[in-house]
Amino acid sequence: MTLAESITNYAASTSRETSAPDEAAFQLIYNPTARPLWAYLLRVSGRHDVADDLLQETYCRFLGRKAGDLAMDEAETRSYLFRIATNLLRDRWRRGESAFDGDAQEEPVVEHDPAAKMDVRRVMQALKPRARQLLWLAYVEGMSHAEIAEATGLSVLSIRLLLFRARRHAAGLLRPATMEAR
Amino acid sequence: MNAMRCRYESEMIRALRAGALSESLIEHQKGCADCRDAVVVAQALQRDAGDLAVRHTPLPSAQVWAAAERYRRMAALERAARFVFALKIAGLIYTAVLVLWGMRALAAHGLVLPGLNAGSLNATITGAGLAVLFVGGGLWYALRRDERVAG
Repeated sequence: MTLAESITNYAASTSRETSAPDEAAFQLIYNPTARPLWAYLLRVSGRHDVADDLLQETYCRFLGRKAGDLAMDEAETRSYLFRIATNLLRDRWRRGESAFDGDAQEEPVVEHDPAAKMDVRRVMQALKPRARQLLWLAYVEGMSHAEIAEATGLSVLSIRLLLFRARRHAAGLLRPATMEAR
Repeated sequence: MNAMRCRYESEMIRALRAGALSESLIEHQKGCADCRDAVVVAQALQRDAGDLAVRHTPLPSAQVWAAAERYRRMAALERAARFVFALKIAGLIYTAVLVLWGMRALAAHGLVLPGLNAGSLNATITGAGLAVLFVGGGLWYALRRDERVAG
């Protein structure tokens, strides 16, 4: 065994001992959080492959967090996961990988309610990524402005204003379809 | 533009998530454009989220766990590679300082090795140059290999 391998093994075992839960404990965290997190990643990124990649990376980062961050209740864990996912999405945009383009893997069409489904997809496509994030976090995840601010790194005042604009824009796009449906 | 938040908005969203609006909230919504927008958006998004949750299964946890293990090993390897790199650099600096100090010490005491002349000095310098070349090449290869493994 080389020196590098020895050090690697030691570092890996040390980090495992201090910060990582075992696989069974991980499953308890993963099962209730993976679906909502994946839905968020899909709707904000607009791509299945990106959502899958980022979901995996989110949990990798979560498991690799520092030992000091271990004591979290369920709500904190969920909030922390969304914060990581939000940062990963932002990193992608900064690298110039825009959502809803390229060889995006389309979602299969919903058979029981195709009109409603397409509306949401169309609306999300029409919005800026930041607006998609804010709307999803506020209205699907039910996060408060303060929680969204923590997840996105913006101020509460900015959240309030951006969310107001995003909501008005989205409602304007959704309303004609809603009227037609009625 | 009035971007102030309606004080009923949070209550409205909570009620929508719970699946029922009270009479008072329905009354309020009729007179509040912000809350009407919030209801339209929240209902559409929540319906969509519910639909996605039913239709899609995320990656199996075992697959994500395995990826996390790989990620952790890679991170540990990167840390180890950085440490080994630092050791190598320290070794090089130490050797260079030792050689310089030795030469200076020998010169200060007027010590010259027996048989040292211009020809043998040239051969020594050439040898030292080759040694530096080989050691440098080996170091470059080792570090490059570490990077490849870590990346």
